[in-house]
Amino acid sequence: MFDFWNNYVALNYFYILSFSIIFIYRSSNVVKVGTLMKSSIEVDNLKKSYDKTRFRDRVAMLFGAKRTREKVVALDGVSFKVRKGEVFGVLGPNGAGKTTIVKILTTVLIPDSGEAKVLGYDVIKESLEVRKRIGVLPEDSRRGFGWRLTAFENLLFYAYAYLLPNPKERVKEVLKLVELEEEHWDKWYQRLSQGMKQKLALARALLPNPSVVFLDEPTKGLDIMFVAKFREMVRNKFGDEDRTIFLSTHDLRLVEGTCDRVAIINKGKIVAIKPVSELKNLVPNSIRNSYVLEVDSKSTDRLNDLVLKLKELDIEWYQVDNHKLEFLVKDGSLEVANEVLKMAINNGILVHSFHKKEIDIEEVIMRILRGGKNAS
Amino acid sequence: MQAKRLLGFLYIDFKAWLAYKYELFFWLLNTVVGAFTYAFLGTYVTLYEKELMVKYGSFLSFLIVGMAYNYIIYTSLMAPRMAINPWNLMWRLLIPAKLYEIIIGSVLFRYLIGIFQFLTYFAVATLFGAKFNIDPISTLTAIILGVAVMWGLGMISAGIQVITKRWDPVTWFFTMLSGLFSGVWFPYQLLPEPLQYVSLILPQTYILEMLRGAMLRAKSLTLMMDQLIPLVLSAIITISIGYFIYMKSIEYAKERGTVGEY
Repeated sequence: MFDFWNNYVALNYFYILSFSIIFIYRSSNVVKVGTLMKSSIEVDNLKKSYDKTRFRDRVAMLFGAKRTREKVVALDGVSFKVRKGEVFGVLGPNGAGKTTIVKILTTVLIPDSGEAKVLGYDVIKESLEVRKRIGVLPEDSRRGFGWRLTAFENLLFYAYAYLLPNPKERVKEVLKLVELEEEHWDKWYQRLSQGMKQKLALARALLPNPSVVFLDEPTKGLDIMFVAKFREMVRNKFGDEDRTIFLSTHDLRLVEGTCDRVAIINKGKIVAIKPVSELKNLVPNSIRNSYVLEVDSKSTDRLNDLVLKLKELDIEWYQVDNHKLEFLVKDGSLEVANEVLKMAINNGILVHSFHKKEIDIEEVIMRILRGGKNAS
Repeated sequence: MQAKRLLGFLYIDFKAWLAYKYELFFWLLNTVVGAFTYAFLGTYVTLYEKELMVKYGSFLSFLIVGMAYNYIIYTSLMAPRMAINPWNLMWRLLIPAKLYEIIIGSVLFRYLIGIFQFLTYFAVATLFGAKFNIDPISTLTAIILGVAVMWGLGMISAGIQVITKRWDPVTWFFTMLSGLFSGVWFPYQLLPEPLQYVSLILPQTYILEMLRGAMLRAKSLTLMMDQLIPLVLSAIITISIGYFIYMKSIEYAKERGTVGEY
């Protein structure tokens, strides 16, 4: 009996030990929430309005006085997903809600309702986990820098705050990455040029080697030479293919040159989300495939005569604007377009130029913002 | 020199001064309270110098303990406000750190500077013959409790400032009253009797009494229960309320989108 009991206890110890070893081994392989997510950012029906009621009115209301609350809607049911490794742009006019989205996703602003997740972590309930994994270049990038600290010292503080291994080495790495010349590393922040300050802010955003980088108006203050380089950096996701870039900007060339997809936001609502290459499809055919004939100002009267003869050809649509004729040919036929040109020359019209209209992204955005998706 | 031009300067400064109505009111109040503080200091300290010598060793020793309060403990009242400086707050909140780490980290250096300043005063005062009779445990306890109470009040103050962005009544109240009523510069017992009741509602009075008992008369904790118990209770109450208000105000600022605003 005694032996049996001893064996029984020993056997239990053996089981416990074995399971402990297996548990420890397996738990090291547990995949953390978010690391297998296909979407880096998920935003669902996000709403946010700002209370603009004056402080004295709010205090008066606390004591029962009647005042009306002044509210400004910043986001009105915004939903979108950003894929892992995607460069995603948000475009829109001033006050459209771009910065509000960035602030919510970077955990410094709480939405009224809706849900937002970054790498699978809720931006409100798991804000610390979100902040561990993101880098931010805010709109006012001067904030959080010591003006009488050098560029290097400023970053070193953040390297310590992020508990980075080899902080000095990492600071050097990112300063080189953003191409801030070494001669400026030991300059006080306040003595750096606007462009250098912006580079330093970018370096701060990249310092913790984040999985998601938020860039709010990143090209503000950058010189032309660096903007081109910056576009290339964003396209390369700052050296990490898996990194997601969330870009909020007015800079259309930056969007066109870097973004995989773009969301256009206006008055707190998403108007369109498309790959940049497909944005032009949102503009009606008549605007995308038309031909433009520009004539000399002396030929304006003859141009009006020509318009009367256009009915003889296969022209779907046309418009005359002073000394410019814009027309759409059925099936985009180049022959018919050439026929119009011949008729113009035969009528003695002095032609300045004749070309197929190339609509640029700026015009596309303007048209979308002016009149919704199907703006014409 | 053109008198008219000088008048112009005078005019804009006067108008700007008038524009900040709350600050103007409290500036006037501070001036009056400050004037009374120095009047009491000048009049009664000379009158009761012998009693002070008997009780505290010397007036210089008495003052140096007041400095310990000013440089080490009073810093705690200001500390949480420094941590939420709007210039830095948004960025501090973006660091993947807990809020308390951010607050403590933001003020550590101030404490080191405060301790250095106090030690300088302490060393110079010793050179000039100030006598200290220190009970280390009681001194440390007094400092820890003082820091804790002031932290609590400081968090209430910072919480209010996160919302109002400018002025908070808590710091003003405790800063203005401590000089006259709490015994930083002279014992509060020198005040007329009705005013001493004001002293008794201020936690600084207990902090300074305990600190002086510990540093000048080597009193053990058991002999300072009159100060110890109110301070422990004050610390528990102010820290609980302060932490709640501070967290709520940060949340409120995050909801209103005013985290980085002045």
